Order: sequence, then C-alpha cells, then structure tokens
Amino acid sequence: MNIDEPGEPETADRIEAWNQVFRDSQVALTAFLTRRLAQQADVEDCLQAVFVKAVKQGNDIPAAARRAWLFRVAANESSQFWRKEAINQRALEKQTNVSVDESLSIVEHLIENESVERIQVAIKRLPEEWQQVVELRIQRDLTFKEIASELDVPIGTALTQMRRALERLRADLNPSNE
Amino acid sequence: MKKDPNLPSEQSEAERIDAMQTWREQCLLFLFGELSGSALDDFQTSLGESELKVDVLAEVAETISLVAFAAPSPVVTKQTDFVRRRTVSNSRWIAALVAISTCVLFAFLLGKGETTARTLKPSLAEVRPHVPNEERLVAEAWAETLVSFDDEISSSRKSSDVTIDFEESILPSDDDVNLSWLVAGMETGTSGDG
Repeated sequence: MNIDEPGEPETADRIEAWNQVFRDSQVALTAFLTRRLAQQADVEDCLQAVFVKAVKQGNDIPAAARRAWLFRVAANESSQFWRKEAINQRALEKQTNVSVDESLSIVEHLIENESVERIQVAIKRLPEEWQQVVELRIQRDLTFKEIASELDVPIGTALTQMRRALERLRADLNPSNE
Repeated sequence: MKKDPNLPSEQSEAERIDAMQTWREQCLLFLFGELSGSALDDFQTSLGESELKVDVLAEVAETISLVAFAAPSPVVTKQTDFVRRRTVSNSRWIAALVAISTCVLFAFLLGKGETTARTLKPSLAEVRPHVPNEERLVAEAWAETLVSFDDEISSSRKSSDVTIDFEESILPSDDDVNLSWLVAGMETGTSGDG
C-alpha cells in the first residue's frame, strides 16, 4: 500500500491517506476491538476515537507504519475504555490520574522519558542485516518481496529477520515483558 | 508467553512457539498491507477467534510504531540532503556571481576612474595659471630641445653604422702616450722662472 507521497504537506491529503488506511483496516480493526470490548456500541465509539487520535497523533509516522499506528491507538483506546469502566464502577475519581500513569504503553513512556535516543541505540545494536530489513520496510516502504530482491535473500528470510528484529527491540526496550 | 486456548492441547511447546512466530509474521504482512485476497480474509477471521492473537497483533503494532516514531524518515533526510546540496550549490553559484560582479564592477570603476582622470586631468597651463607666460615658453622650448636632442642622438645612432672598438677609442695610442712635448714645455717654464 503506497498511499504516502514524498511531498504530502497538505492536511487534506494527509487525512485522506489516513482515511484510506482506516478503510483498508476496518474489518480487522473491528474484529480486534470486538475481541477486546465485547459491546458493539463500544466498538463503534472506539473506532471513531481511534481514527481521530490516529490522524491527530500520527503526523510523524511514516506511511509504511500507519496501519500499525492505527492498531496501536486501538489497543490503547480499548485499554483506556476498561480503565474508565473500572473507575466508574468504583467511583473513585482520584485514581484516574494514577491509573492513566501506570497504564501508559511503552510508546508513551519512551516519549515521556525522551528516550528516542534509547530506541535508536537499540536499533543500532541489532545485527546489520536486521537493521537493513527494518529500515527498508519501515522507512523506505519496500515490500518484503522488494527487500528480498534488494538484499538477495529469500522472502521468508527477510520476513523472519524483521520479526526477530522487532522481538529483540521489544525485549531490549521493555525487559519486563519477556 | 501466554498459551493460546484455541490451539490443540496436545500441541507441543515447540509447535506452539512455531505457530506464534508464524502468526507474528502474518501480523507483519498484515500491518504492512502485504496481505490480500484469501490470505487477508483468513487473517481477519482468525483475529476474531483468539485473544492471544489479538494481543500479539497489538504488540507487533506497538513495536513497529515505536521504531517508526524513533527512527528518522529517510525521505525527509534525503530531501534535507538534497536541499542542503542545492543550497551549497547555490552558495557556490552566488559566490562565483559575486566574484564576477565584483571584478566587473572594479574594472568598470577603474576604467571610469581613468576616463574621469583623463577628462579631469588639467593641462599644465590650467594647473599653473600663475606661472608667467615667458617662463612657460622657455620651459616648453627647453623640453622640446631635449626631445629633439634625444631624437637627433637616437637618429644619428640609428643612421651611423659605427661599431665602437673600445681598444681603439678609449685606450690611448702610442702617439698619445709620448709626452715629450709636455716635458719640454715644463723645462722651458722652469728655466724661464729661475
């Protein structure tokens, strides 16, 4: 999916690009949220919020990662939904701030802690072949087939290297997860 | 790693891990928009069947977002480089243009200065109007004499094919060296005095 053009400064174009990603992802996104939220009405509310937040917060996200960003926002929204539910049930408004703070995702933690450099260091620690695959897929938006062709490796190898790279990064950045 | 309740219980741990790795790779293909047709349908169907699969999808999506957020976009970098190169190139052109302009301006001013100097340069009479007319005439005549004298010398030198023999012309001949007339004269003078 190549919806991002290098010169895409116009807001209308950007929103349309996000619209396209949203339309392409809607079935999976609904399935994803249905699994997490149970109530169909909540799913629909959440879908709207996901779209708005994805567009609003995803200015700097490269085109290749837009769908991932959409699902990340969806995961965050569904988590927040349950937190709010829990808070409503307990009627303990004071816990709101604490809950939000404690439940921040890795992304928010890293952004809050200004740890972008940490991610970059973690990326540099990856084996060179993995780094290449990550860069070609996320930043240069090449398909795995194109990456395989460029690096002269089987497509399965390129895909596995990408998976391992992300697993390694996740482990490096959030050791408590493993 | 959580066990997927949808997976058969008799499945070994290795098989479970293998299945999850396959699912992760499916998630990658889906999130990067590389699934289509029946593969996409299968993915969407199985997503709704398993909570673990939903969690894995969320995890992969988050990690991709993290990397995308942190890593600088090469498109931007390339554009920046291009702009920088173009700026450097432009700077060189501007520097060259300024240098040429400066030279042209300098040459123009120099030329204009000379012209102005020539235009403004007064004659001797204008500069020294107070000098008496007679003196001026004498000075000019003297200068003309010098010039004509020089001309005469140079023309005579040009016209005469005289080769100077330094030995002949400078060194005295034997006749000249004979100073007997001088000795005789001195003797005469001496005897006359005494």
